[in-house]
Formats: sequence, C-alpha cells, structure tokens
Amino acid sequence: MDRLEKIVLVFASGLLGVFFLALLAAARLQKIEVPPCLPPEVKPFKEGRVDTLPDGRRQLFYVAQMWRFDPEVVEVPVGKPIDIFLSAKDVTHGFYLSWSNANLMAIPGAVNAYTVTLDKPGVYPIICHEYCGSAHQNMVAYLIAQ
Amino acid sequence: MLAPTKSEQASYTVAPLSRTLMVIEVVLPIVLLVLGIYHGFLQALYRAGIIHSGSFAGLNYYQGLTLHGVINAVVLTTFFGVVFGNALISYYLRKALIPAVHLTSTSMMVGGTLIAAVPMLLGKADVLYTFYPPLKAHPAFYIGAALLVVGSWVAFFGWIPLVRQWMRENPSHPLPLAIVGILVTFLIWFLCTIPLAIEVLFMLIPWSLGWVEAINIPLARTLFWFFGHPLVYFWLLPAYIVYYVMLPRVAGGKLYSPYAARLAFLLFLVLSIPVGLHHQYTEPGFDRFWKGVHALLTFGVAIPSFITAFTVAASLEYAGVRRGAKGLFGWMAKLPWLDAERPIFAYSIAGLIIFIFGGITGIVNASYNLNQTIHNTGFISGHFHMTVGGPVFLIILGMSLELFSQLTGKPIRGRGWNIAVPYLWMLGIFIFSPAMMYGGLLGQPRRTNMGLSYLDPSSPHFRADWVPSAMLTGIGAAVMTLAFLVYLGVWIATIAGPATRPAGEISFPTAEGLHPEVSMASIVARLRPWVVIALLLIAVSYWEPLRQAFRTPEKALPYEPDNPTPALQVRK
Repeated sequence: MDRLEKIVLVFASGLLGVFFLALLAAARLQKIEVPPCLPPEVKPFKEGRVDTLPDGRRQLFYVAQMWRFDPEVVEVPVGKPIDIFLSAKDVTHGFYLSWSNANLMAIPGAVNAYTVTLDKPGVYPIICHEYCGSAHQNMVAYLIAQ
Repeated sequence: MLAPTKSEQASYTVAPLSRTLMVIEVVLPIVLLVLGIYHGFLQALYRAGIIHSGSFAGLNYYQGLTLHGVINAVVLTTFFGVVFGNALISYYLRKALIPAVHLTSTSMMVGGTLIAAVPMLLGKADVLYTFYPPLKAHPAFYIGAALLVVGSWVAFFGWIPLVRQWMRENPSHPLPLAIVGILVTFLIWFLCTIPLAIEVLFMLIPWSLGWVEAINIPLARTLFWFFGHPLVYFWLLPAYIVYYVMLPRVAGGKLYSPYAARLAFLLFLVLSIPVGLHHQYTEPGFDRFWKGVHALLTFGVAIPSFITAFTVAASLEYAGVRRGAKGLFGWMAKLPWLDAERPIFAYSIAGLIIFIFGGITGIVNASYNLNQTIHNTGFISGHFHMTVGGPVFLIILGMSLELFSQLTGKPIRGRGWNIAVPYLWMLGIFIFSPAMMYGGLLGQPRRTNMGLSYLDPSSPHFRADWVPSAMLTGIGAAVMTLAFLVYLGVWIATIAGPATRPAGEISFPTAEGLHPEVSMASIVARLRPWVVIALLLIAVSYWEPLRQAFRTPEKALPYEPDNPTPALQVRK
C-alpha cells in the first residue's frame, strides 16, 4: 500500500473509533441504552396492566396483539421514570413511543423492557412499526403525560 | 464503451446454450421489475395519503410490498449476481461454463421464482420479503425462494472447477481481480444462506405445512439476520467489481491500487457476516454486550468501503488528470459524465454519489443506541434506497443492458436516453430518501399503509405534521418511476433493433493497475486464510446470541396475515 492509502485507512478507522467511543459514552454516562436481556424465567404475559410500585413508580405491562395494544390509553406522571414491559400475544409487533427512545420490538415468546421518562406533558402516540397483518396501520395506543 | 482496446484481451464467445440461458437470466428479472417498480410507486402514493384504500387495481398494499421487496431485492439481485458471475468467469478465465450445471442452475432459479410468484400474486403470501414468522405464507412461497437460492449455489459450484483449472494453468499469476470479486461475493452468499436454509427448511416449511405446531421466533429471526446483513454485500459487491475493474478504464485511467482493491474484497469476506445482531438491537433476549460486539464489527465492515471511496476517487482523479485536468478539483470536470458511448460511467458515478449518503446513514443505523431513534421508521427505508436502490440498482440496470447487447449482438439504441436514466434516478432518490428519512425522524413507521390511518384526514390517528415529508416522498418516487420508464424505453428500442454484431461475444473494459500488481506471495493473493478468519469470527460472534435465542421461554403458532386467531391445521 502506498503512503496516502495508509493515511486514509488510519484516519477512517480512527474516526470510526471515535464514533464508537461516543456511543459507549452515551450509553454509560447519559444512560441511553438498547433494551436489556431479561432472564429466561420471565415468561410472556397475556393481559396488559398498569402497576404502581410503593414508591409511586409506574410500571406499564403492554400486550401487543393483532391489531391493538392492551392497555390502549394510559395516564402517566411527567418527569418520572416509567418502566415499560412488552409482550406479543400472536405475531411480531413494533412499539414506538413517539418522541422518545422507547423503540422496541414485541417478539412472541420473550418479554422486552425499557425505562423512559417523559419530560413534557402531552399525548404521545405509541405506533406499531412492524408489519403485523392486514390492519397493521391502525395499531396505535396513546400515553397521556400530565 | 465496452469494446476492447489494444491493451485488452479479445472478446470471448459464449457457447449458444449458455448464451440463451444468460439472456433468460438477464431478461426475466427486468420483466418482473416492471411489477416491482409499479408497486414501489404505488406504495409512495398510499404513504403520501393520495390513495386511501387497502388495495388499488386489484393489488393489496402489503401484497404489493411483498412483490416490491421480493422482486427488487431478491430476484433481481440474485439473477444479476449469477449472470454477471457467468459472464466474468467466461471472459476473464476464457473458459466455457459447464452446460449441465448452467442448465440446472438456471432452471432451478426460474422455476423457483415462478413457484414463489403464484402465492404472491394470489395474495397467499402477504408476509413481505423478510417473511418474519409467526406470520405464515403458503408453503410454495418458501419452497420457491429456497429453489432460487439453491439454483444460485449450483451456478457458483459450477465455477469452482473452472477457477481451479485456471490456477493450475497459471501458477505464477494471482487470480484476476474480477474473479476474486465474484468468488468473494458468492462465498459470502453461500456462507450466509446456510442459516437461511436452516430457518426455511427446518423451521418454516414444516411449520407452514402443519407438521410442527410451534417454532422459536427469536431463533428464526436470528437465523434470518445471520443471512440478512451479508445479503446486502451480496447485492453490493458486483457493483464494487464494476467500480474497481471497469470504471477506471471507462473513465480513461487506471486502477489506483490493485492491492487495496483485493484487500477491500477480502475484508468484506471477513467482516460482512458477524454483524447481523445490529438489526436486532431493539429485541429482547440478547445481552447488550453481544449487541455491542456486533455494533463494533459493523463499524469494521465500513472500513473496506472507506478504502473503496479513496481508491475509486484516486483512480478517477488519475483519469481526469490524464485527460488534461488542472488544479485540485479540475479532474471532476474532465470525466465523461455525459458520454453516451460510455453508459457504464454514468451508471457508476451516479451510484457512487448516492452511496456516499447511503454509507453515512448506514453508520447511523449501525450505531447501537442511536438506532433507538430510527429503528423501523422511514429513516431505514430512506437509507437503503441509497444503497440497494442506489449503486446496486444502477449497476444492475446499466450492466444488464450491456450484457443483453453483447449476448444478442444488438447495439443499445437510444444511447442519449440511456445515460439520462442514472442521473434522473439520482434526482429522484435525492428527493425520496431525505423525505423518507425526515419522516422517519418524525416517527413515521416503515412498511405501513399510512393512507388508511396516519395520512387520512378522516382517521382519528391523522398526523398533519407528517403530510409534507410524505408528499415529498411521493414526488421523489414519481421521478424514480419516470427514470425507470425511460430505461424501459431504451430496452424496447434495443430489443426491436437489428443485431449488427455477432451474438454472444462478451468483453469487459479492464483497468490496469497504476501501482504494481500484487505478487503471488502476498497475503491478498490468497483466499483460504481469509475464509478461516471469517469462520472464526462468525463462530465467536454468533455462539452466544444463538444460545440465548435457544433459551426463549415460549414458542409460537402460525398466523395468517388477515386473521388474529392462529391458523391451526396441525396433522398429527
């Protein structure tokens, strides 16, 4: 390889390295993460529900099914962390809480999880973004933060 | 300009049987592409909120989306990979393809395509080209797809004895660069279609026939993406062969560095497979650590593309300087942008320009936690229309026409129109993809008939903030469709024209190296060590994710896409 090529190769690899460190920094310092791996003992659930822990923390258990989310409308407090658990009853679905990082796949057989804090009051659509059959485009739920 | 010059070897005449088979391999996917592009355009109209309906002219949105994906991304690309490989092997090794093998492979591929087309056209396989279970298609869909893939393996197996024979006859020469490129392309294809074959043969087919009741969905998805990302390099590498081997010559220059070209192909062989988990960042069941490992390796597979960006640009700069360019950027103006006698230049350069943005957005998608913002949104579709819909598609269009012309002896007619196609397509992409990505950042889901809900003012889910980006997507798609119509016009004129040259004489413009050719002793002159490293990396990166997928607590029953109760038809 000639000198110019080596320079370009080192520069490109270095740039990618810097990008990757930035991602790790965001994951560690700002806690912007991908969904975790729950232990296999956590079995999929069939009914949606909303729990409030003794310290007031909200836990939302969503079941994605053809072609709705259960529960469909949930009110949550602004500025407090909310734990989302997601299970799929029939086929694979998507779960995208608008304007947030809660972007999840609902996979039959396993439970997905994510923690999110909504800082602004408002109505947040939750959109199914994985094709799940003929009425996929109507699969929407709403989270009301107040 | 694909005519040989003095410095190049003479054309190679393909035997009549192989010639006929190769014409079929070129023409069949282009004919099917009419349907694939038609529904691409219609999809944009649904998504823009211009069509508020589940189907249009007898074709359901998701049925059309399945056809769009299967035809454009699987049938077209696989047929092109095979026919381009057949042509490269014939020309660069100067050897006749083995007739029985060629006939078997083409028959399997054509037969498989037709078998899969029936359920798709009857609406019995509305499962999109990723066919994620538990959505279930008619068994013929999976069987047809499997035949297409195995037919392409047969073609590859038929090249191996010819390559070995050439190596025995030329012990002191490294394999020609084009041959290294096509062998790497098909080695990746063969390795990555093994997990796909396991998913289809041992999970989906028995399950769709009702022989087994339930299957492990995370395992099926992991096997799919084990295949699904290297698939994009199977699409891309034939374009890289054109960029490295032919483009520098067509531009009037030399290949800047044959060493770098070989290294890039070999790095793809090593790094293109152990990266599939980057499609599964948002899924449950895998450790963050392994998602991170695949993220790092995905960044690694960007490196050969950076090498390519430099080497191809340096080769073009050299060509521009040879054509009398002055100054730092003068070479750009001296390139044959509008030379109707060198259509491959126009198709290549438009694809390369699009790919700058396709590559950068790909790094965004690969970026672990950054993917949380854009996963499964329109951003993804915007991105891959600048990769598979950019350099891959344009090289397939340009080279298919060239191959047809050489195989039939009919010169391309409407040459001016022909070089307008890539630039018009590029214009369409540069409207379509940014609009799609902007919509994705606003939260638009991909693969969704938005005209029935989010883009329908009478729906409770209507999103007024999505209207401008969705409309712009429609305009971009219209320009892309127009480019394709011009391309079809060139095809029709070419087919209708007379043959003025002997049929079946193929030749490719071939660039010399500016820096010296690699020696036989060099590590990049060998293939085997790289295959070993590739297998090791695959084993390390997939052992634990596969083990984790196997632990999934529950299995899943099959579902028809239009019915929320399971399609139970188990025969015990």
